[in-house]
Amino acid sequence: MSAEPAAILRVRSGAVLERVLERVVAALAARADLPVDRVEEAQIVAGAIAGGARRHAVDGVVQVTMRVEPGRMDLAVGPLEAGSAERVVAESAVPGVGVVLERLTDGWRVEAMDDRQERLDIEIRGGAGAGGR
Amino acid sequence: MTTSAPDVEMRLPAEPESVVLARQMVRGIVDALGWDEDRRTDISIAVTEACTNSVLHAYPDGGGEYEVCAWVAPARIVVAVRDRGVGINPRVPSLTPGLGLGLPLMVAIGDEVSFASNGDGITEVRMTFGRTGGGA
Repeated sequence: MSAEPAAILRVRSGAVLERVLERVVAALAARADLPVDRVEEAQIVAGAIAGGARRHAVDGVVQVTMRVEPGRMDLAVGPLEAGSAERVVAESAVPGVGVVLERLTDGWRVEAMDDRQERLDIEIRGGAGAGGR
Repeated sequence: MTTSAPDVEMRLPAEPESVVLARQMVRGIVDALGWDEDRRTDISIAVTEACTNSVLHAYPDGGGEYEVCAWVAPARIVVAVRDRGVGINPRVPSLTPGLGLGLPLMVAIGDEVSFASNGDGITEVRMTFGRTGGGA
């Protein structure tokens, strides 16, 4: 997806991160015309991102760049500390549910930004989450 | 409080559909702070008005961006809406004049509200909200 970002969110306060990210992502998912169940799942994905990215964000600032088109939204999380993006995914595991960022997304990948920073790119589409890369 | 980097900031294209995202950002903040529903609604209205002003009036030729910044404390939040558009000039008729209720609403809801255009070409509406309100 090459469209201009619909929003670039930067959060320094851990106390409000989860609620802010959940609300903004849910609103964008609705704008992408995702089905209601996928909007709810996008909100869960946002909560999982908030939990992991907060621990691994460079300088403690969680940045999420959001792009949207009909039936699809992309979330680019970073800069994260090098080597930590996969940990953000792994740390989203919930007992009895599995790895949220794999189960509820349609794909994720790690993009190096430089030697010390990387970005976690996550794709969410209208259908059921395909999971994995 | 507001001399430091914002606790939350979001950059948005100056398009009508972006306003809901700004509103949800601020709504998420006041949700997390546990403020009461009436106050949350009032703050959402004020922020919506400020963002709508940027979207409708800042860039008469289209395009452009604006940003919403928030500084958060348990009993007070400050929200600034900034753009690099044409600035605030009430004597210039707008192509999209609206009802003219936006500024009075912001002033009524905010505990402090200021409007500024600085030398860098940045226009800013800054609103301070207390937990219980008490604007003009």
